[in-house]
Amino acid sequence: MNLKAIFLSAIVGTVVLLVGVSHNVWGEKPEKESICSACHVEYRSLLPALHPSLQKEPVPSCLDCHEPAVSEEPLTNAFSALIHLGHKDSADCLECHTWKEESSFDLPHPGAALGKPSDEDMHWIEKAFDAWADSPYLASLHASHAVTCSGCHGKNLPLMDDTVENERCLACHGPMEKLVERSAPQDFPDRNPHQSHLGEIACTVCHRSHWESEVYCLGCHQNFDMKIPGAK
Amino acid sequence: MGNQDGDGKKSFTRRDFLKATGGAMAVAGITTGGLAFASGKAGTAELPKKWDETVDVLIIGSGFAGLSAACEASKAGAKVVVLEKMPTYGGNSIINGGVYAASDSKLKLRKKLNLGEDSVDLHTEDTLKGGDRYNFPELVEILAKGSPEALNWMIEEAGVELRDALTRAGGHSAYRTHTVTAGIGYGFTDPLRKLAESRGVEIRLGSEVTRIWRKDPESPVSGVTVKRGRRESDIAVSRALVLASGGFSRDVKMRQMFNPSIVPEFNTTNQPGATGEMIRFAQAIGADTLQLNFIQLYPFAEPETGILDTPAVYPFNGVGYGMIYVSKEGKRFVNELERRDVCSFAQIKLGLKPTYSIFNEAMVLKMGGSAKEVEDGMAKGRFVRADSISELAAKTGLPAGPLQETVDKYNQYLKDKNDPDFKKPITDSMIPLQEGPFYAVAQWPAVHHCMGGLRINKDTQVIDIWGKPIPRFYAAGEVTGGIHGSNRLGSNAIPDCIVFGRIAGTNAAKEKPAA
Ligand SMILES: Cc1cc2nc3c(=O)[nH]c(=O)nc-3n(C[C@H](O)[C@H](O)[C@H](O)COP(=O)(O)OP(=O)(O)OC[C@H]3O[C@@H](n4cnc5c(N)ncnc54)[C@H](O)[C@@H]3O)c2cc1C
Repeated sequence: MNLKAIFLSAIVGTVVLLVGVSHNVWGEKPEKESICSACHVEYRSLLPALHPSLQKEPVPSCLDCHEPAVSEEPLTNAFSALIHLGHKDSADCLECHTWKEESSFDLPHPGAALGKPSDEDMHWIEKAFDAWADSPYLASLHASHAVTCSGCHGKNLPLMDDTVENERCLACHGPMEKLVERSAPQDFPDRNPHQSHLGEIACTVCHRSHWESEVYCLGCHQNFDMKIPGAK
Repeated sequence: MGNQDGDGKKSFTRRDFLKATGGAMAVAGITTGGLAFASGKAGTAELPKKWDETVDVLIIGSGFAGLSAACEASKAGAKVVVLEKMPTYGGNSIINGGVYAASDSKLKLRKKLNLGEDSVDLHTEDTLKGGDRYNFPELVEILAKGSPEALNWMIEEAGVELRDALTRAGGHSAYRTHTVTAGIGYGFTDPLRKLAESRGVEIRLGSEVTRIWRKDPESPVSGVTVKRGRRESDIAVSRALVLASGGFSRDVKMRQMFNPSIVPEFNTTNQPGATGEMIRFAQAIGADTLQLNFIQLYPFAEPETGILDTPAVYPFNGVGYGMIYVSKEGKRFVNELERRDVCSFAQIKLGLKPTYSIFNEAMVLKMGGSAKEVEDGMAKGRFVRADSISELAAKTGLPAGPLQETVDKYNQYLKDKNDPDFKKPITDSMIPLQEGPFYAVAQWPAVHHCMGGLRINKDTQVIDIWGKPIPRFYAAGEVTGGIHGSNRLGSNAIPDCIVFGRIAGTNAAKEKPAA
């Protein structure tokens, strides 16, 4: 097994493990400085068997290998995805993050400013997280592929009513021509939802991550047989 | 929702928030706008103390009327924002059949194709007659006179392309209906949208207007409230508000309020956003409406769903070239050159769903159709093709004997230039149903167009219930009334929207910015 393969299996293993152990090691609300150690006594048992041994402080050493995912680029399997998947069952962002209304939302270590959510934003961020952690919607599908908030929304924390531009979706799912090809109906080529008589439309017209998706065509063409993931 | 802090920042409590979203959940359709005058008296609301934004010309609706207004207002130098509640732009316009009535154009198709005479006066007279003279002549004249010029404008400035065909459609006494090359409204909306955006117009999708603000019955319109996602914001207009929000054919409750005969069981050709809330919000600030009971059925929609797909445009385009309509009993039942209301109610009176249009290959190109459209329609089972009339009968389930008899008799009428059964005016361009292949397409009426709406004057100013223009308030397109009377002639809606939309945009931009 080469090095890359070891890392990959380690990542996957971590996801599984973190999901499994998040609760029984939960403790008091952590201090800003020792955010992980406030709950976790040791880390070895959280990691897959093949994971290289840990040298330093847990978080910094994770980041040596796992990209943080606070990035403008869409990433999968980044550290942020792994850590959030591991804490899926926690409903409260502020167990780990710090937040000052309309002024900051931070990781425990300073300098990671992720936006300035309002109280209202926070309410929807929690709901959005819930849909990501566990729902029949596309966000959950993204979670299962270790794509976290930044994977779709970019560096800053998505605020209420944030949307995702086509470009961002297409970075992973594109190019558009590929989608057109894949969704071309066998029977009637002109009933292709990715190349319709409405011209270029937003992906989010039909595909929604945090709530129900909807085949927009059916708003008029009631008798079309069209199904998409995350829709009724 | 929310309180204004000293620094203008909104601070929310979760309770405020729940109240707000609860209110905003009311779906499009008949939302309860309440009284909208902001005079501060009981039952009315105060004008927003602080506006989230100010825009020169604010346009509601992104169809033909809104886009045309946007093109002109932005050309005149105004900052223009178009608000569209749906997640896609274009309303009914983008899905429309792409046919446009004009007595002439720079393409001179009538002359080129040797299709007789026409004039602005004739177009005006046909439109008035088709609307039973419930329409206002001064508005109809603007439509008929402006239509060729508006078509030239779209060709020249926006790059719209037309097919090399011209048809005579129901209610029109001349060959004046042009077809856009794309064969669908997108062929007009796409160039218009691009033109507008190239002039700096911003189109905001998913932005539903939930209120119009006006201080009192003497004041100009001051702005609107817009719901975008879960947030509401208040936008002030500096020059003017242009209402181009279309008709309400999808609004079953509103249809019923004004015309109980348009029962909920009818299908509709319209897009889901074709609801009437903007008319109510306009009424709430004193706007006058008229003729809201005049609601048109499209006689030839797809019978099961009411969709007006490409094959459903053929029955409309083909009659000038000899197409006939037959009942399930294989008999003609109407003068095919009749207006839409006559053709629709003739079918409903038959009580046998559906009816069929019968045509032959020789008519297809003449009526602006194409071989590809026919093949696509065949594949979907919409068109039925046969080499003989008896075979067509077998394939459609129509009775062969009566259908053959109908066709034979009709062919003779064309020779005689006389239709003793339904008095259809026979023209030289009509082709007998002699040579195959023959085609049939099934059809049935569906709710299609709202002739009534806001009362406007020649400058497209919205008129209030006391007969005075409401300052800084314009309207154009299907949301207005008085242009088509009791029955709109097919292919007259696009020119209506473009001609009056341009006037609205031009006049809106001319308003002096509010202090
Ligand atoms: C299927 C079909 C085929 C047709 N074919 C033809 C044809 O070939 N020739 C012809 O002349 N006519 C045709 N017509 C009629 C013609 O298309 C319409 O009358 C015309 O498109 C109306 O244009 P409009 O700009 O007034 O409104 P629309 O194009 O309907 O645009 C109005 C927009 O306003 C939006 N809106 C409504 N309320 C709000 C709100 N509260 N906030 C924000 N936005 C709002 C709507 O969602 C919509 O997008 C057809 C109609 C249909 C339905």
